[in-house]
Amino acid sequence: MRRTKKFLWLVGLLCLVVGTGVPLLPRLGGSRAQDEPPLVELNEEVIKRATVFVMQTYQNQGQPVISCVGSGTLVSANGLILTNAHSALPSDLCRADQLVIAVTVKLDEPPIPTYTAELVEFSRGLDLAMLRITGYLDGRTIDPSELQLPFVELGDSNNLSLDATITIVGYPSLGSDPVAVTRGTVSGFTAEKIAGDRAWIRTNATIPGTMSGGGAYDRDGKLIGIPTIAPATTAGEVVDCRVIQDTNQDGLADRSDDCVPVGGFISALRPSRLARGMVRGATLGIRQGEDLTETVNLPSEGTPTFSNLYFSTVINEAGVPSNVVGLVPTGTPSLYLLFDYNNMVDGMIYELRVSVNDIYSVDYSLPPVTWSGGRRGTWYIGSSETPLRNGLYSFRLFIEGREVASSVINVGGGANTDPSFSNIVFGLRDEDNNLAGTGYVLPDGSLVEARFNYQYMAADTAWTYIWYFGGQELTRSTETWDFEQYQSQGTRTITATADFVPGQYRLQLYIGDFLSATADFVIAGSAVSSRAVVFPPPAEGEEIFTFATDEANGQPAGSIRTEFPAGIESLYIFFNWQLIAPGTLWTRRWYVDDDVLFEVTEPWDAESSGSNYFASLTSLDTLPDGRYKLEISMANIVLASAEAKVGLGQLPVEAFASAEGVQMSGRITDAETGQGIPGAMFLVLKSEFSIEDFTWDGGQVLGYSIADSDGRYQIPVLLPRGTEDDPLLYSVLVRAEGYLPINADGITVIEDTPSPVELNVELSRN
Amino acid sequence: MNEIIEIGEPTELTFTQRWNTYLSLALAGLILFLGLSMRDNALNATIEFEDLEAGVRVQVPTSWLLTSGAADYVVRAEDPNALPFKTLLQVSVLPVGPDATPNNVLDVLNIQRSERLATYHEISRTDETLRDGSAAKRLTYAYTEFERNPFLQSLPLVVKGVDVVVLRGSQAVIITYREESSAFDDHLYRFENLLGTVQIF
Repeated sequence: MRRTKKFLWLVGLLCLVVGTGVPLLPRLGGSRAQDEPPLVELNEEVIKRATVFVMQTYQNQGQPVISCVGSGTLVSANGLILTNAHSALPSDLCRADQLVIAVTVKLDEPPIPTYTAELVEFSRGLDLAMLRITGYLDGRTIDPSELQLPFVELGDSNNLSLDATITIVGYPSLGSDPVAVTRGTVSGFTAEKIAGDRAWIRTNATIPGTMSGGGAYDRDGKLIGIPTIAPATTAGEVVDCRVIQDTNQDGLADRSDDCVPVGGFISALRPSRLARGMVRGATLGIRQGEDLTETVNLPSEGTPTFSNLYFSTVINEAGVPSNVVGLVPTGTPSLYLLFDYNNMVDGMIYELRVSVNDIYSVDYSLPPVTWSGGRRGTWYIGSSETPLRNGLYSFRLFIEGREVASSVINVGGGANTDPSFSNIVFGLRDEDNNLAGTGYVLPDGSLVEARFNYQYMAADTAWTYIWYFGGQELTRSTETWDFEQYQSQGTRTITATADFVPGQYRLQLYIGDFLSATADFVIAGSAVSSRAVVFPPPAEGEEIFTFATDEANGQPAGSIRTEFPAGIESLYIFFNWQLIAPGTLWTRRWYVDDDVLFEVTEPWDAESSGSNYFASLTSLDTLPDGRYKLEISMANIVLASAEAKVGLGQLPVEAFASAEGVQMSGRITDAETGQGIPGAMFLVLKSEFSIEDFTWDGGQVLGYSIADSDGRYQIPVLLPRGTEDDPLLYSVLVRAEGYLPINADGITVIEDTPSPVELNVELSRN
Repeated sequence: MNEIIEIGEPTELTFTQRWNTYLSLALAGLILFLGLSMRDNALNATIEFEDLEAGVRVQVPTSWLLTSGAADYVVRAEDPNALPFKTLLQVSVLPVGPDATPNNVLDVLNIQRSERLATYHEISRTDETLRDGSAAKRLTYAYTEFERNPFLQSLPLVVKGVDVVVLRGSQAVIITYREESSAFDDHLYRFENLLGTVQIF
């Protein structure tokens, strides 16, 4: 009996010393497989912790004053934050000399201001910005590599379908409430010229304005959208603005103090695909460098206006309306409102309010958002992929809260059989007498041909075509339809003879007094055959583009080649150009390994012709290895592109950290007292090492955490997942002076292991 | 019936008994000494770390977490058991110009740390001669260590540190020790041991 007791005691002691890890050996996961799948399978805790509160502040009489607030999302462990540009850029509304980042320390408490950040990259038009955490509030700087913050990964917003469930995370108030989660579904998509058919994701979720800049997630917990709304204004005054501080320091916080705009309710999300380049660029430490001409957002020259409103049901790949409609049949899936704009300034707030049969429709309206189209041009907003219900649709456009234009259209009835024109394209005849060219960019010359489709045309129908240059009528002609020659439907070509100098042109086709089709085109470059050559090579047989590592007096300098060794700091590209009218919109896209990193559309602001226009990319350190490509387009037509190779010509495999994995946290306590053990170390080895292999080499460690005052720890890196067939096994060690150490092998992490996993450890005194 | 119980005076130990007792006590003492010595050896055991690229060889405590090859140090050893601050020993190398002095290096370190470490301040700066006879400079400083993970909460700790800087050609070798201020003196010997084993080649 005594011997048995002694044996049991020894076994118990052994378990205490060596096998305390037994409770640490659960197969982390698997239980969920037997239950019903949850509505949203996302790691809500990680997402909440990755959501930050962004505050713009300025110093007033030595006191910091909060001017604007918004939400943001950490997209990398080293402190890159994706948010709205209007929440980060100083403006008349948001005076700011510092960006303060507050983080959620406890999930049920408001965020705590912790860091300062700087602006890395932004797009006013998309209203997206990347911030980087740079320091603590007391002015100390941060080495980004030391930060190990929770972050989320971008998902594929293109795969989002109607009625998909989404989860929106952000801060619902001016920082006085904990991070909030709202669930809803995708109720539609809104088109906008800057980003095409899915420029906006619409949702039926109720999202407060301060959640603007936060995140919308799919069922996998991937970021698929950024809730976006600009504070609504009426006659320049912010509609909803809250006083929270005594900014004038008169001893009272009242209406005489500056207030913080909160915006209305958000129903639109910017798809994450539009932020992808920005995020990748910031992650790789690549920025757009200097260009020949600096991009300047000039103030408005006059009253901003929207005019010439019309509707179309199809926008082609060049962003040109294929038709013009005055009546839309039942079941039409898409409808676009097009209009000309003038005297606009990027960053202005505009809005579309749509009512159907006099009832306001959230789905078809566009809440107040920032303008991005530049000073003048043609714009469109539309609804796509959602069949329109019958009714009288009233469209009202607002700039800075002021109604500037409106139009109505009826949806209903059968297919339209009225005479109509559609699908205008432009070109020049080639040697075979075919219409050739890029469709919407033509060379300088004296002749332009336009081809269009027609249907339901009747004999002697009066029709008119008008050519415009720079908004001014160039020539017009009214004719009757020659039915004998053209019949009721087919394709027809008309020719305009004039001095087509570089600039922006338009053709409008009318049937009777009704506009039936319209399209814009650009004249730029000189003709080679029937093509427009806008960017000629410096000499016959030479490459159009010259890559270099530097620029000196406007000339390529440093190393000039197309294959560069690893470690260069900047990459310049030089090219010549000819016959581009100032003000012509052009787009340059920088690709790295086939991913668009930067896309800028702006008016041409150099001379009409010249040499050595340059654009550049630069980096905080050195440009990572990869293939760098610049693509230049006008009117959505790619006119030239070139590629250079840096280093191995491929981005490093670990260029982008994965946010996928299991977060491990818990509490280390004294087995006797139950008190936390501050300073205890919890260490997780990489899956390829077991306790037996461990030689206390830091290279074998996946991550470790030192317990806080309450004994809580949190491993700062996520544990990569294995699979059911090939699970990843982790080993952990727990150390604290005066306590028996704990070592445990075999912690299993597979696909369905829930995250975060809470692992509490009790240590026995030695 | 009466029973007589005889209570006798305790008899003196015999010679053998006395020596047995002495030997037992001595043996116990020896075992205790050996045990403590073994424990001490185990706790103070070191292993050799060598970085040929940096030209540094040093003995660091075994069972300390050893990281090397980072941008700002050659080797760093942290005591995983220490509470609440993980005692730190570190060797780093800084490129310097031909006219640089150890004081210049310490000035640079002061500036860098003032930006990074909360309430950082220098306590003293003294001359020192290493075992191999080379002249060095010893900097003592203190700062407040705080929890860097914003999701954990700890009271800040006052940390005291020492740097010994020695110049070797175009490099400054910096040997560092950091410990929570109340335990600083208790574990300073570890730093002195490390200092005695550093070889720069």
